[in-house]
Amino acid sequence: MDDTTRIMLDLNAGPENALAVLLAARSPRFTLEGITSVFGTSGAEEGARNALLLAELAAPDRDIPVAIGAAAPLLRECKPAGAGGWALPEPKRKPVPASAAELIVERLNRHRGRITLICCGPLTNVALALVQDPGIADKAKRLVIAGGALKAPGDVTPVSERNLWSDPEAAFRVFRSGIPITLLGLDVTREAALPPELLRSLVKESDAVADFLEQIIRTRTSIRGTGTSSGIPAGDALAVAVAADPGLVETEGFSVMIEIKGTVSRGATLVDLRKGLRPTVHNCDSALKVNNGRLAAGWTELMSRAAKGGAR
Amino acid sequence: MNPTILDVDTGIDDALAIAYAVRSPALEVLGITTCFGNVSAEEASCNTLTVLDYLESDIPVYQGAGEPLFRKYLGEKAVAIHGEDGLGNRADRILKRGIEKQHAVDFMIEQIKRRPGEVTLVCVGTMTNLALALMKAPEIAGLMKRAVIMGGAVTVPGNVTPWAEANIHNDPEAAEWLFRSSAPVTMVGLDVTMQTLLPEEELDRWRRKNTPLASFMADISEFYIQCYKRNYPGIRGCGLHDPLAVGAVIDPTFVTTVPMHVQVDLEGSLSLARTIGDRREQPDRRPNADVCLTVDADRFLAHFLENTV
Repeated sequence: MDDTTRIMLDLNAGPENALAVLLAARSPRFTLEGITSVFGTSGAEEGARNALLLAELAAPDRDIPVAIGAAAPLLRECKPAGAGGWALPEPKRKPVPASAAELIVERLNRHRGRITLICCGPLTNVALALVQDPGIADKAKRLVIAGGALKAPGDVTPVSERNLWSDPEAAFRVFRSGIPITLLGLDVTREAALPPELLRSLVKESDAVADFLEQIIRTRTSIRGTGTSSGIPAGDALAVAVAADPGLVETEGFSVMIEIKGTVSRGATLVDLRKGLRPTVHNCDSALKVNNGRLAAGWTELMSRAAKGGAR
Repeated sequence: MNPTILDVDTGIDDALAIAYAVRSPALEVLGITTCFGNVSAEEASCNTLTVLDYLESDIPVYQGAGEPLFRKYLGEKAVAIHGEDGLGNRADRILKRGIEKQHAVDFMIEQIKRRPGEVTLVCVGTMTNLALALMKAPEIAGLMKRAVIMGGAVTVPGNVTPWAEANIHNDPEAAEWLFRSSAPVTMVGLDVTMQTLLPEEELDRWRRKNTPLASFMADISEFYIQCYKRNYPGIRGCGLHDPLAVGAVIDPTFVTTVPMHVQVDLEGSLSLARTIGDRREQPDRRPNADVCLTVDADRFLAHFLENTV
């Protein structure tokens, strides 16, 4: 019996996204069913290009499909983002002809109830996929979102986190859709740091990924993570890890609503916390705390199995 | 003596705040200004005069704004909370005097300018009067000693919506006008006022005093507590929202404050009128308010009970 966790990754071309791809492609705990790109720190095309290259380097024996996704939010104007700045060679493969939303719909229907979708950027692609086939809300095993800020302050505004702020209308529709959500907001993603030595265990000597990984380690500023560990910011990698092991974070059920209006509040993840009035029907398990006791071991386990198993 | 102007929308807890302020030897109440909110501005004036009558006080009352700055009144008269007349249906006094001719806003400006750096404004209703005063005479931002407002909720849920507190919700732009004004502001919000409950048992002690004032205060508080019990099952008293703002002037050590940049959500579809404190490690802007986050509830309550009725 296949004991891997089937996942799909939705992301753009940032360095945290790249670590998520490496972890997902390298760790034998996962079967990576596809990668979709979305606008964000880079354009969607650049995101797809980087994802193709990383998938090629990390898992050369597999043909992980990569689809180009939304170039802009559903409704908002979007300024073209600056380039990611990675010195990467051209990938050999091309993106699949399907759009990101089409690939998500196709994969979720093919493996009903078995795929965890992990979104590390704005939620535009999932919102579009839910329009194409609302039935996928019941067919996804779970949607893990690296985004939002439940009790922690925001980043773009005092109450809004960038991914959900970038396309609040998409987020609104996704949270209303009934798809089972695990929300990893700034409450926990800022706490996730991967020590360089642990990251290096993802690669083997003379590995094609090694140079790229060293580039990330060199250019990213180390942060203090949870407990005593410090390392490279790895919020998106945490979302991948949680797909395999939900116990890495402590969650609480909430009915989250997305504010779509307002200069300050746009994209805010709102919950009604009034005593006696808290909704009892939840649309979301929100992580409020990293499980300090388990995260270090969780990372090590994912990484070491990656090293032993190598590329599948 | 702290020269103080009390701005109210009287209301039951406003009545308690008025009594606490008027009877406090620490405050010199220059006048009481009224605005719409719990009730209309006219009703707020009548109710204020009623309370002052029970207090045997001749402090002048100045009527102010009857509607929000830039929008239709969002709320509705808080009949369930404060009664049909705003005083738990006890505003039955025949008034011996009326309001002053001067408008509340002009009274505020005049007093602040007359005593530069001395006058504290305690706003326990909407911030409309103060915002209008700041519009009319922006220089008073630097001339008032401080504005202490009862309103908002930074770290706790709202009351009128899951995210908004009633005084801010009744005129969000007025509150934002104050926050942007550079006036020194202390925000006494639900963060602290929901921790200061008037226990029901205290009312019997008031009633035993058997004075018109004590009976009146006990009756209106009783009405307020019944409403709290309906709205917050299991609660053992009513929130002393407005009195705590007065308390923070009488003895600032009742509360501890954190300087913060606060802005009001003026546009949200869900979180309209939420007071958003920038609690990020590196805020975009400098603090514009001292936000009360903790309160020595026992010490405040003891002082309030000892000195109000």
